[in-house]
Amino acid sequence: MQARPAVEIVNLNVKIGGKSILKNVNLKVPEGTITSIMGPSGSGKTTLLRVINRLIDLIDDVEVSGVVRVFGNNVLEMDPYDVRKTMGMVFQMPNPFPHLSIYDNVSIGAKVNGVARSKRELDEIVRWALIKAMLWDEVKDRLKDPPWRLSGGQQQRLCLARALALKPRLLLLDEPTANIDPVNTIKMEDSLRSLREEGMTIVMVTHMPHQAVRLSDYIIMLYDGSVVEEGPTGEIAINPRHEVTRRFLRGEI
Amino acid sequence: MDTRRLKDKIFTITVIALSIVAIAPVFHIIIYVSYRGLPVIVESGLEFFTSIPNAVTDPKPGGIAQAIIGTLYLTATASIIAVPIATLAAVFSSEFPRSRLTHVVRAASRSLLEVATIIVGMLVFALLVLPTGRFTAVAGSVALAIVMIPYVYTYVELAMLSVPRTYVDAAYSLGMSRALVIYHKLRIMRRGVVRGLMIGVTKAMGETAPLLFTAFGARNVLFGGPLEPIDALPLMIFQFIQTGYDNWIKLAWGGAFILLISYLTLFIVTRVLVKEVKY
Amino acid sequence: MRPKGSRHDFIVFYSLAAPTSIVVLILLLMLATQLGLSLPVFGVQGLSTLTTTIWRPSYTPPPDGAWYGLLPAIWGTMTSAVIAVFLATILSLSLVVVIEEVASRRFREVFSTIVDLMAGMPTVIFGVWGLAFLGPTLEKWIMDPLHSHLSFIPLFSCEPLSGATVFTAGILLSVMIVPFMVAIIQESYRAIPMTLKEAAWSLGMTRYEYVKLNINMIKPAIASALLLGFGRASSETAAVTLVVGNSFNIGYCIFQPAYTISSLIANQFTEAQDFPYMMNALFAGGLTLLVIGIIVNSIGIIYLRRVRF
Repeated sequence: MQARPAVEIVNLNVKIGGKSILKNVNLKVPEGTITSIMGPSGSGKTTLLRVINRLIDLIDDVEVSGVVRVFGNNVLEMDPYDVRKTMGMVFQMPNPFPHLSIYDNVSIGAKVNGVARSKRELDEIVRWALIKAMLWDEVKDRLKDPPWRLSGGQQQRLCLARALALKPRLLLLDEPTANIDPVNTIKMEDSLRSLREEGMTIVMVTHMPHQAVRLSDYIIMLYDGSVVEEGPTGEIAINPRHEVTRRFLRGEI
Repeated sequence: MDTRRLKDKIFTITVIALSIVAIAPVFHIIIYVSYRGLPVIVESGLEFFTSIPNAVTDPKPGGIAQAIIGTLYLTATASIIAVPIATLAAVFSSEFPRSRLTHVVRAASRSLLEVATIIVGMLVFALLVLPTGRFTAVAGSVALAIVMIPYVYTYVELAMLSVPRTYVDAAYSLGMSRALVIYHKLRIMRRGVVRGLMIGVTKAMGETAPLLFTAFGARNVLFGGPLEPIDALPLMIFQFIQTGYDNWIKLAWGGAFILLISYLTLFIVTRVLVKEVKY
Repeated sequence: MRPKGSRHDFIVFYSLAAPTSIVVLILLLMLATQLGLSLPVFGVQGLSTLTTTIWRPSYTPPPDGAWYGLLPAIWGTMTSAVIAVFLATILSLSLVVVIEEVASRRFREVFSTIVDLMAGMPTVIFGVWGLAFLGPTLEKWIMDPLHSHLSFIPLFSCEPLSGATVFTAGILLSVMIVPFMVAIIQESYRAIPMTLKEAAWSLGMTRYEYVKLNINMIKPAIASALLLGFGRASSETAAVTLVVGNSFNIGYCIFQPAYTISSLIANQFTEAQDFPYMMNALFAGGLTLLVIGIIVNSIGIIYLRRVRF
C-alpha cells in the first residue's frame, strides 16, 4: 500500500450493550481507491462503517475506544456533525426523504452545510451529483416529482446523488446494491468507478464476493469483529491466506 | 458555521423550556389541590368520610360520604354493565376480523371515544329520565357505562389480538372448541383485560358531564337506592365549587383531593399491571 | 373451495354478534335522539337557531315570546378551542422533540409518564384549579397587562372583569389537550424509519435541522393532531364550564366571559324542561357539537392515514 491512507483505524474496539462488536481492529484504506469490507453477517461490517461517520453515536449504550483517522483527523475526537458533513453515506435500502422532491432530496445536504451559496450554485451541484450518479438523464425533466415515483434502483442512485452533493472526499456505502436489480447494480458500479477516477475514496460494505472482486482495489475481510485478512484484491481473490476468506469467497458463509 | 450551532442551541433550550411549561401545570395542580383540600379533611376529621354535608350555616363543613358512596356505587354498576358488553364485542372483532360488523363496531367505538360526554348524558336523559320523569342512580350507571364501553373495548381487543398465534394453534390442535379457545385466550391475556377495565373505571370515576342530568346528585341521604338520584365526587365538586357558601366550597376542595388521590392510586396500579404483562 | 365449517362457530358468531351490536346501537341512538329532539326547534326557528345571538327563555313559545340563538355559544366554543389548539400545538411539538431527541433515556420515561398522568386526570380537577388559581393568575399577570398596554388590538380590547373568560378557557383547554396531541404526533414521529433518520444524520445536519426535516415529514400527522385536538377541546364540558364565565357574549375580544355549547347545556339543561322548545334548542346545540366532532375527526383521521413510510 503505497498511497497515503484516507482512513486509518488503530486498535478500534466497539461494545454495544456490553457486547464486543469490533475487537482491536487495525486497518488502512488508501486514498483514491475503492475498498470493500467483506464478511458474513454479524461480523461487524456495518458497525465499522458507522464508526467512521459517527452514526454509531445514535446508539445509546455504545462504548468506542481507539483511533479512527480520516484524512489525518481523529473523528472520534471531533464534533460528530463536522465529521458527517465531510463524508457521504449510502444505505442498504434506498431511503430518499419521501416528503421532498427529487431536487430537494439531492440539494438538502448541500444546503444545510453551506456547500452552495446561491441558487445557481445549488442547481449546478444538484446537476453534477445526478450526472455522477448516472441519474440525470432519467430525472432531468421531473426534478419536482416525489422520489417514490422512481424505481427502487433509481431511488438508490438518487441517494448516491444526495450523498455526493456534500462534495465529500470519502464515500461510505453499506451494501448499496443488496436490494436493487442487476441493471441498476451495473449503473451504480459504473458510477462508483468514475468517481474513483476523480480521486474519491470509497469504502463499501458488501457480502457479495463477486462484486468485491469486480469493483474494488482493496479487500478487508472481517470475521466476528476482527480483521482476518486485508490486501489488494488480486492477491486476496487469487490466493486467500485465511480459511474464513476462502470459505466466504466460495459462498459457504 | 457558528450561526448553525447557535440556532441549534437556541432551539434545544426553547423546546426544553416549552416542555417544562407544558408539564408544570400537573405538578402545580397536585400541590394546589392538596394545599386546599387537606386542611378541610383535617378540620372535619373522620366525619368527612362518614357524614353528609352540613348546612351552609353550620360552623363545620361536615362530610362527603354520600359522594364517595355514590362514586363507588356508580362505578361498580357501570362496570357491571359495560364490561360484559365491551369484552364480548372485543372478542367478536378479534375473532371475526373480516366481518362487516367488526368494521362497524370499530368505527362506532372510535366515535364514542371522541363524543362529548355531555352528549352521553343527554342521550340517557332522553332514554331513561324523560320517560320516567325522574333522575335515578340507574340512569347515572348507564351513562357511565356508555362512557366506559369504548375504552374497555379498545384495550380488550388489543389484548386479544396480541395473543401469540402459536398458543391459538396449539389450543385448536388439541381439539378445543372455539368458545373454549376464546376462554383460554382471555385467560392468557387477563392482565390486558384487567388493564382495559382499570382504564375504563378511571375514566368513569372522574366524569362529571354525563351525570349532570342523569344521577343529578342527592346530598341529604347517604344512599337512596337505585331509583333515586345519587351523588358522585366529580358532580359534587363541580356543583359545590360554584356555590358561594364557604362550607360547600371547602367540601368541594376536600372532595377534589380525595378524587385526585384515587386517580393517582389507580394510575399507579394500572402502570404496575402493564409493566408486568408478559406473553 | 373452503372446507366445511363447524356449526359451533356459527353459534359463537351469533351469540357474540348480539352484544357487539349494542355498541353500534348506542351510537345510532345517540345520533337519533340528538337529531329527533332538535328537530322541533328547527321547525319553529329554522336555521336561524344557529345564526342568531338572542337567548330569551319564555313560557310563550318562539318566535313570538321565546328565542333561542346558539351563535354566541358556537362562537365561544370555536374561540376557546382555537386558542387551545394554537398553544397546545407548540407545546406538544416541543414535548415530542424533547422526549424523542433531547432527553436521556431515563428522563424520556419520566416525561412520558407525566404526559400519561395528565391525559387521564379527571377534568373537574383541571376545572377547580382553573377556577381558583389559573383564572385569577392569568387575569393579574397576562390579561390586565395586555389590556392596559395593547388594548388597540381588538383581541385585547375589553377589560377583563374576572378570571373567567374565553381566554382562560382556551389556556386551560390547551393544558388538557397537550397529552392527547403528544400521543398522536409521537406515534407518527416514532414511525419515521430509522434509515431515514440515519440518512439525515449522515448529511451532517445539526439537531435543529434534523428535527425540522422530521417534522416536515410528518406534517399530515400534525394537521391531524391539530384537528383531533380541536375536537377534544370543543367537546370538553366540566372544566370549561367552571372557567369560561357563562354569559352570552360575542365579539373579537377574548377577555370577555362567554358560553361554549357544552357549558350552555351544562348550565341550562335542567331548567330547560320548564320552557317550551328550550330543551330542543339545547339538543340542537348538542347536535352541532356532534356534527363539528364528526367533521374534524373524520378529516383528522384522513390526514393521519396520509402518513406512510
